[in-house]
Amino acid sequence: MKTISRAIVSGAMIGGLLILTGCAMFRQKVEDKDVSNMPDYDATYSAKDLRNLSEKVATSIATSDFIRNQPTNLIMIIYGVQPRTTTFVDTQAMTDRLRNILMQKSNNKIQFVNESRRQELMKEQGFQAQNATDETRTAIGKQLGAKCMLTGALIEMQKQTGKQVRVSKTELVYYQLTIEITDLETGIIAWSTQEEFARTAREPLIGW
Amino acid sequence: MHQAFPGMPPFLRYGTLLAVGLTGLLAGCSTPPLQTARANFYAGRFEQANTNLAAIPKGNKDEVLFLMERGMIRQNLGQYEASALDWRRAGELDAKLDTYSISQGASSLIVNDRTLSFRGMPFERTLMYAFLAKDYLADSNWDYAAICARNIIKKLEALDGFPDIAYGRYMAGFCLELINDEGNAAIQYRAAARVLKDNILIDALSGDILPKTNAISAVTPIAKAALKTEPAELVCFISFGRMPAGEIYGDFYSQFPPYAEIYCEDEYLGRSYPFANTAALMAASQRRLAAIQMAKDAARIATKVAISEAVKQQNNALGALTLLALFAMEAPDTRCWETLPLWLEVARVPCPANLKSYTVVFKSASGAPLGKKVITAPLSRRGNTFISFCRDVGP
Repeated sequence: MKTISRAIVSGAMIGGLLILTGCAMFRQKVEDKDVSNMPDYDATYSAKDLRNLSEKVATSIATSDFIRNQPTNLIMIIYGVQPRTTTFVDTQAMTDRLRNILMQKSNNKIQFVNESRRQELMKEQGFQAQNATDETRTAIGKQLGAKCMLTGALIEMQKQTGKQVRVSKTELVYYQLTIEITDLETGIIAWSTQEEFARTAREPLIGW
Repeated sequence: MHQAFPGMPPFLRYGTLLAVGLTGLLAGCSTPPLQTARANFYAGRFEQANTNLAAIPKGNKDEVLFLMERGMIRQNLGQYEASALDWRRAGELDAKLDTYSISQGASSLIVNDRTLSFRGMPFERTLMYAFLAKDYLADSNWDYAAICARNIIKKLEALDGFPDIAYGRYMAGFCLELINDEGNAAIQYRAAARVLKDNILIDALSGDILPKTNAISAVTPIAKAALKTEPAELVCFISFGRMPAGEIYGDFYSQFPPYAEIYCEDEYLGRSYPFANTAALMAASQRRLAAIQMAKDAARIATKVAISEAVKQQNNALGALTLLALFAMEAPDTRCWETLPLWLEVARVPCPANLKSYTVVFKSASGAPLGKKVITAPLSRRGNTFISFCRDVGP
């Protein structure tokens, strides 16, 4: 009896040590992931959606008749995408990416004024006016005015399975991104596009 | 060698030793000094309170509670961004706690409910978003304040027998009003008015708050308010006191609401009105959970008796000791967000268009002055609306 119980205790201790030291779960691991093929861990907005939505909207704008029919380069200002969601979505990341793709896809036919750095720009111009040499000083009052304003809204709608006897809950999330381009002279919405997607995720109600 | 329990099989003896060792190890794990932080907070030593909770252990069963408390401390320190990060993290953790943990559930059956991860009552989780909204209002981040509003509404639309919160409704309505979502704001203002049955009228279109002296006299000021003749208005969220911890009986804490008078350069602008009392919300939540708690307590006691009886069959002395140890671990789960104020009030008053500061005079229900604060920050502005908040930490 004594020998058996000793063997059980020793076996359990050795087994435990082996699990803790040998199992990959307990080892540090770092690996790069393909950003174009990232998995979703829940139903809410993710980096994959940021990439997909901005790509689709930028393509839609860059290939639109509105841009094609512009006689000259179109100067735009981005006034942000309103996050009408329950999750704290960084919509500035979306507009940053949108701007970047639009500049590339349109071969600079669409240009942007740097509205987020206006303060710094004015500060630097003021500094140069006082301290820089005549040859290198940037001229004041020569900034280009935007002709159009890009705005939008990201809408989220959520649904969950109702109360019932179950061991998991299913969540459905719908997202809709609307992007509008407004003519700053006339105030008319010159062009607009929408992209949407929905995703479901099932989460266990009981876990370890 | 003398053995304490001669009839006990060796593997059980080693197992017991291992269990005792592990318990000691876990009990000895360092946790932030929460009570000290709370004491410092209520003594007005916000910096020290923040230092007390500087390191919050990840994965701790009370992580949500620590984050809730630290968020409040940081908001009172004016560290709105850090406070918002704490509350957002608490919200994320809370969402993960929707999954019932078998291991924690089993340990709560043997020890007590304090072994379960802290989530707080539904009203605490809702109010967390109301306070988070204030962080964003202070930073003039209207879009994120509106996200908080949607979270408040989401929680208040799934009450499941828990109490509705007029303060949460009003905050949600106001945040939506600030992003020009006036239709949804009006729905929330109406819902707040429904919850506040007693003394206050809320105009669903303008969000104006008026005393309900009688139905006829209230019509005129509402009509006046709708005209929006005031040059500007100040919306101030004012809170008083400390939410009591533990079981709440009767309505001692929810009687005699204090109020605040608002002045600008000695001119009286108006006063605040009570929108929620956290003691009343806690009492209502405890009543809602009473039956579930009773069943859980009964199951736990039965489990403890069964375990000690099983041990007793092996060894009489150890069985008695086990029974004693298991019942010594019995303790009610009184954990709650203790830096929450007792009274949550709102003042919406006309003010000068160039408002730079204002004075709040805190008064007891009988009108006796309790204290005074000159507020210069937070004081953000959206069009003709000034937004601010302050707290009387009080004794």
